[in-house]
Amino acid sequence: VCYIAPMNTPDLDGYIKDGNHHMKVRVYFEDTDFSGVVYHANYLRFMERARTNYLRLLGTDHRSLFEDTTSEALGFTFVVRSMTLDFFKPSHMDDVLDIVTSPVEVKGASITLRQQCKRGENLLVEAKVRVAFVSGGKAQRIPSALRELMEVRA
Amino acid sequence: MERGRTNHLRLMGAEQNAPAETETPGFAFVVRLMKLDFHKSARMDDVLDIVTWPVAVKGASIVLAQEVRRGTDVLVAAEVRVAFISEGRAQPIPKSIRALMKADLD
Repeated sequence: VCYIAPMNTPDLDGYIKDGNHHMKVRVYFEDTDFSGVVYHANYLRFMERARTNYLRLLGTDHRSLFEDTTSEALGFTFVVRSMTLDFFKPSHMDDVLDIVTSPVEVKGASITLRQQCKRGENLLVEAKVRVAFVSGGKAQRIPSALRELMEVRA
Repeated sequence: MERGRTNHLRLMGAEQNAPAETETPGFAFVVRLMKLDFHKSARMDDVLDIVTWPVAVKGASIVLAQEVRRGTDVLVAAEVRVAFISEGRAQPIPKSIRALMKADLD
């Protein structure tokens, strides 16, 4: 798995500002359920995309550090170990959502992220997500280069 | 897990001829909170067992425990709080549903 973007695509990847990753998502009909609101499990998909893009941008913004990581732990990836989700308000067709991702804790082999789904100033969903660093099929210590990248912002 | 919850409710309704439907038309449960622990992974062709049981019945919400199992292995464990919604708003859970869920708690 390689998170390094082949090209710079800010419209797709979102951006990092003050240590938080922001990504916009438009709600389409396919995202809603029979009652017309976004189906709750689809927020998990939006958040997964945001985490992927956050890592992608860390890679492009700090390419040299990220290359240290990939040489230290070849074919690394993050797997979700636990999630806590609070659903406060619904969202609907055509809404533009902002998915905000922030690292809150970096441990030996896992990282805890806070992810918020907002519509304007309204907080719709908040999640705490613990992801484990996996390389060669096993949980591994997070390489120092990657740890530094996230710790700066945590 | 959504399917597990839907069928859990469906079976409760079927057994009791859905008395809640007449009390509060057009009701639904919406997910308010989920806590998920991912312990092991499932693979192509696995047969999973989704086990759902109520752990608490409150005024307007129900807390369910759910597990995804493969044989005796627990792959994912969840706690899910669902709120009772009727006519677009959170409502107290009708006695009939409350009684059904509570019966399972004991």
